[in-house]
Amino acid sequence: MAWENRKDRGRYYTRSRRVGGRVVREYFGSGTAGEQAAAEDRQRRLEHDQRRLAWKILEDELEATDDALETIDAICRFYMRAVLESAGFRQHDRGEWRKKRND
Amino acid sequence: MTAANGEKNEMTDDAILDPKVPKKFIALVHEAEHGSQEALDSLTNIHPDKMDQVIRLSYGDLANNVLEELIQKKAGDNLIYAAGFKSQIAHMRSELTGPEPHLLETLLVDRILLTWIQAYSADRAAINAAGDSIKVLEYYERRQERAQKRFHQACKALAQVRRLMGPNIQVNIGEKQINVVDGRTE
Repeated sequence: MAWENRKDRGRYYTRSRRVGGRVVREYFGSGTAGEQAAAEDRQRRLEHDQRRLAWKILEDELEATDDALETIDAICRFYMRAVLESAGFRQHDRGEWRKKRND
Repeated sequence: MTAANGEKNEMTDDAILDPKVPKKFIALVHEAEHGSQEALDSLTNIHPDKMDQVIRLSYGDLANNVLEELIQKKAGDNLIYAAGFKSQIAHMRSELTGPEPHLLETLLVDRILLTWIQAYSADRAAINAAGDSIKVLEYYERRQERAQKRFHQACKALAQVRRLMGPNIQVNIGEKQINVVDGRTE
């Protein structure tokens, strides 16, 4: 999407888009049609950037909550292990907890 | 043993009331979970009498902050909804923990509540995302799966502890013996 300058025909606006895997270029000319197409593309890009920014902010917030929950999980795992081991249990191969036998 | 910021991460008895303790403790837990024997040794060396204190300090603020954040996201600017939801959470907490629960039960119940809210929010977000691009839908589905998994793990941990310890939880951390009989600490 850009204004192009041609020696013989002056400045005109083009828009490229992909159709069925091929790039198709549309020509809008230099008059009202060109200006209108350029304005539409500017608006579309702006909305796209705003959506991306909003998405990024949301994603960052969600990731931060996930990180905090992961920390909470880690503290719980550590403390659960400490309490269960002190009560005489041992975790078998990272799975089931069993009472330690008194030999 | 160094934390991400290069600071030495030791948990000595004297340092236990240092305001940096939660940060250091959390860093050590993460490092131990990623294979650092040194971090595990530091954690094991925390005096048993101080352990509950360190856990309360490290976990308490973090859990409260996450809870506030999740409620805020859910309720938005609606303070009445937020207050109602907080009261619902408090009710669920007391139902799940019972009177005078052991600290471990309190932690595990809190974890269940937090993961429950997160799973609920993830479900809502996935429903609201219907109509968005495939990429967005997949992202929310992955979040939903992770949140559900985390919630199930939290429930499983509490069930496991209650099954193993029964109603009479006796914990010997160091020389101090704590008996919890039918939820009462003796």
